[in-house]
Amino acid sequence: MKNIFPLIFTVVNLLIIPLLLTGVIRKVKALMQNRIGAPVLQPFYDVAKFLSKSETISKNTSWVFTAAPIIGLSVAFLAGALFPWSGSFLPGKFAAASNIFLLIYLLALGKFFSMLAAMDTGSAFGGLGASREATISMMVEPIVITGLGALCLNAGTPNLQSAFAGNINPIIAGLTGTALIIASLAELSRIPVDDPTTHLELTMVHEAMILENSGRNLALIEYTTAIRSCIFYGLTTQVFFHMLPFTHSMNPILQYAAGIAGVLLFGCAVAFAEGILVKLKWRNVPNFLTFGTVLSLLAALIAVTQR
Amino acid sequence: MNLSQIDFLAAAAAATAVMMCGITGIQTQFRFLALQTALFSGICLLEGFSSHGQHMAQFIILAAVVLIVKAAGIPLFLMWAANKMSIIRDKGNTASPPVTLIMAFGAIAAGYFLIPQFAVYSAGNPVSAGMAVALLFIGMIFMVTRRLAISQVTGFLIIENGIFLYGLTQAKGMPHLVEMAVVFEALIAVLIAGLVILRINRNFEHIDVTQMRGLRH
Amino acid sequence: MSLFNQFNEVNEAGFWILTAFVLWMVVFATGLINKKHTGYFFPAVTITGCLALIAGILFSGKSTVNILVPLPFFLGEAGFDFTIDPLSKWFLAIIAITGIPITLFAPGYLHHLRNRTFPGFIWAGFSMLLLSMCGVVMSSNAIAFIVFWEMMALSSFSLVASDNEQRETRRASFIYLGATRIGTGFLMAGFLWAHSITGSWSFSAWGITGAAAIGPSILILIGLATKAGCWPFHLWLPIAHPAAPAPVSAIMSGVMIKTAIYTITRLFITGSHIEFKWLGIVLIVFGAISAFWGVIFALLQHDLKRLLAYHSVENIGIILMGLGVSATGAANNIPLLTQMGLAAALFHTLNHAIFKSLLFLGAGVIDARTHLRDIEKMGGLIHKMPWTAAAFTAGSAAICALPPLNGFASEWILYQSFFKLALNGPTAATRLTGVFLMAVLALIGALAIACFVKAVSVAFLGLPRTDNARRAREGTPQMTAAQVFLAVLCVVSGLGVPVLLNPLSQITAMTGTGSMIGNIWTIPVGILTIILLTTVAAIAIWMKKLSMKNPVKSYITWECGFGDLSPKTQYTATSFAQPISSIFGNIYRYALEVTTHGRQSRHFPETVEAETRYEAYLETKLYEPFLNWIKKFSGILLMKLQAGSIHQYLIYMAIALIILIRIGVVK
Repeated sequence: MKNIFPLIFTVVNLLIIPLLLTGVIRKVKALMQNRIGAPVLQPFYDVAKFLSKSETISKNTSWVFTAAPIIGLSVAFLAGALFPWSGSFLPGKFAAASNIFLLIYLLALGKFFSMLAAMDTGSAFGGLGASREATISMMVEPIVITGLGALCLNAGTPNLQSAFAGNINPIIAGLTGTALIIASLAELSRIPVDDPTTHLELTMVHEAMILENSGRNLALIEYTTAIRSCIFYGLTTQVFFHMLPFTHSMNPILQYAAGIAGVLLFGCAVAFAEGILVKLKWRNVPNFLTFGTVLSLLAALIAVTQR
Repeated sequence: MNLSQIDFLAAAAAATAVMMCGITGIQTQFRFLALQTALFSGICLLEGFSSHGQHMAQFIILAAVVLIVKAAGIPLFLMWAANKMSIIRDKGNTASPPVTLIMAFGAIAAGYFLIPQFAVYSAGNPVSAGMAVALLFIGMIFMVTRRLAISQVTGFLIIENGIFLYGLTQAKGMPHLVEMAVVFEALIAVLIAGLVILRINRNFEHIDVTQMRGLRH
Repeated sequence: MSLFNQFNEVNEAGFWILTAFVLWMVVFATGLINKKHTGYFFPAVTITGCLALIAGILFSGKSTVNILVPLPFFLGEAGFDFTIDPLSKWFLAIIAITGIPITLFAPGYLHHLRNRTFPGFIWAGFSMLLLSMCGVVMSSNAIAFIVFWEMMALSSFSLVASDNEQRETRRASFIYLGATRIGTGFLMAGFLWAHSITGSWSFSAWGITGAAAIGPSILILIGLATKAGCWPFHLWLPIAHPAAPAPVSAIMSGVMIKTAIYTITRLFITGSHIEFKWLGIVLIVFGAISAFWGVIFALLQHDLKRLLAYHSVENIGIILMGLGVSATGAANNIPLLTQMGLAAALFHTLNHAIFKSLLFLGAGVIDARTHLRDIEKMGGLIHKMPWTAAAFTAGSAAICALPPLNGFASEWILYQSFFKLALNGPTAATRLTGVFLMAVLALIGALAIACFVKAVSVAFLGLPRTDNARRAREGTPQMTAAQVFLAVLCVVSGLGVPVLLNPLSQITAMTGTGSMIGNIWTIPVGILTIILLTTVAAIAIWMKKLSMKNPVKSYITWECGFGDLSPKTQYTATSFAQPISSIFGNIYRYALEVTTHGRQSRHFPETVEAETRYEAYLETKLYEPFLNWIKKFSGILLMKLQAGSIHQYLIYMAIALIILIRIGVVK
């Protein structure tokens, strides 16, 4: 019985929460702009619609273009399943697989193929998007590894599941969490790094990469993006939970509910921020992200001096 | 080793100084400066509480003076001056803000790791003393890498804060009258510097220190 | 002692290894005699040699084999003494495993050089390179080591220079020769110093510690760093590799530069023949700089082979970081850290040999079939050479450390060792170094991904940019087989980590305390890969099913309504790298210049030219002035010394004679 809940949690996390999160973000953003907005469940309808449509592919493409979204989604599924959600746990051997380095490189695997697919069509849009995506991920990966590394150092294990099960210094958690917010804004192509609702030249990162995708292909990509958002927001929420000493000793179901509420609330906060912030100039993005690097380095400094 | 509250505030102040190195908006910089100085006022209070009533009153007065003069007065004056000159951003000169940020982090690490080797350091608290030294470094970095004259004043204030922190946490026997005098001295220095910069702005229509070589002639 | 008796004393392992040597000697001799032969004799015998080597490794089992080559082969002070312990075996295995596919690949590649080179010479150099590398990793005394080291340098020089009708190649081979001279010079000086301290040529008799170790260590490390291509001695690497034929680049980049890694491990880590106090920090700092330097310069390159060469600098840096962690662990008495760092470094050495040879072979196929090395002129090759494209993509994913391939496996262990350093380091500064290394490795990993996305997508994807690329076709079946073999090895070595940890734990046990790395690999990578593949298959089948209902339409790429896209509108490699290059522009002064021409050039330009340039400060600000100074100085000196007077020369001779007598005779 005890093993059933985590399984259910994982399935719910992977199948329902990601698209729900997308819906919530869009709804809150619409409300911020004084619009009524699409219903919260609209992303589900969208994905279903895309799946039922036929697909137009550029004649210049190769198997990479078709394979990339499939690989991307599978990798996102795997990373999402390995990610230690609050309240759930990985059984036996798999517990070791919630290793920070594995998770980050798994996500990089998906990104590698999505960048290749963007370049496959021979369109300059895809190239521009892929190039910027590569640049952003170059700046984001050190933030995530250092920040989570600091957290795990404090817990004494590189295993996220065990790290999240115990106490963590709230200062480290706070610094890492803030760094992760910055990282996730960039990684998930949200304002102030990228505007996810347009593909104008000025803002194109993610949307420019997937310009050539349509129909089923696009459905897979939208879903992948939703899962990735869910993973990053979940990670950040979990880190912030450790600033509150009582959260990780609660009943698993309560913990899980709190985790989900945290992810959705995080989505609301992101949408709120998007309502009031403007996009940064591309040249200023490194400046913005360096704040994340320094925050996670500070967390690391505290973590190494605290031992 | 656990951080005491004083250490925590000192570290937080150093962190604000690091963040200032990455911020290009002048007004935001002054807000961070105000926050940083307010943290020192907090340290004053904590020192007062930990001295068990001996110098409590003196410490509280010092905290109040720091809060009013340095955390509120000076930043407000600088904001006013910046407004008057309508400067918005200082993008830095020799090094871009990301590089400065990383350098500032390096200063913190260096301050922490080097302080036990300093002659003036005698046991006591490695974090606060280290952060004080780090503030000195960061102020230097800030002054070297920024372009506008008003940022030189900000950098000077960061250094000044570092000295204040060192005196506060390390030299327990320092008369508070001296500390207070230093605070007012800083105020006067900033006032003079601010007015001079205003004057330079009026005469040269810029306050870019990189272009001030021309003043030689 | 007769030769025959000697053979009786060595066991079967020694016999097989000597067989490999003999076979390669045969190739060497016949290659020199029959320089125009293009048949299957050379590759067949060379591969048989590699197989004999593998047989020797397998037969030796866990034991350490000592071979004393009998008297006629004697080097004055010491003989050809070979010791084949687990560390040597690991490197012998790397040589054999990469040697086989490269030999398989070579005939197809050499075919396109047939009018410019003599295949016999190349095979002679190649087999001699294999032989000398084996000799280097087996030698147990400094003299034999230096002899093989020199043979390795000279044979690889002859290989780099094989296509010497090209001006560029001649220049490259001379730079390479110069670099090997400098490297060997430092190494020899270091060995002599060590000999003068210990009085022995045998590595195992060296036990130099304390302050005496600093001098020889620095000399030896500089010599080895030159061979390995570690920053700041890496300059020859990106010049020599593009000039050499692809199989040669593959073996040089994949294996030959690793002999330096072997030597560092042998002298400083497993045997502790020399105990250098600051080894850990030196290796970590130079490793980190090399890794970053290599990848950031790789991003600027458009020459595919030069790009790969810079990635060798990067990976050598990564390996050195691992060795540095290992040395730090040894200095602070943390055995697990020592062993983890060493295991990660050696494992990465194997993996880098596999995927780097794979990538060089891929570049070789493209070179042989399109005569292109500049990726800006390629494009769309995936349609013409699907196998090469697939293998190259696999190799790229491996070098980017993407799971489940082998690059990830070794970098993961390396990350674990960094984490361990950050967790258990003796001082806070050491622990911070651990965290810092994690951040650096993450940065390097992301940069490598950017670089290889650029390489793969500009070379293989999109539309062909030139006629050469349009006329491309797949390489010969042997070339394809060689690449597929290496690609499969990438997967096998990524999934079979627990098996590979067995020989590695034998090596790490040599550091003194028993092996501790048996269970450092905790990721159930096999199961996860199966889950991943099942998910991929399930989604693919589902997509296929959906496409029955709504078939896929093929249409043009979106061109904003301006008519069909020409290949020129594609994103170029320069543009792809531009954002990252400009971020790190301080390191090499990156400049982008856009000029517009035409009368109303501001609003209606007729032509627009964009040009990016970079100037590497290390080369232009440090090496160039230094070399110019040396040139000038030696020019003056030469004028004075070589005055053309016979009497003067006779005086030189007399002085030399007196000095020699003073050194040699007077006690």
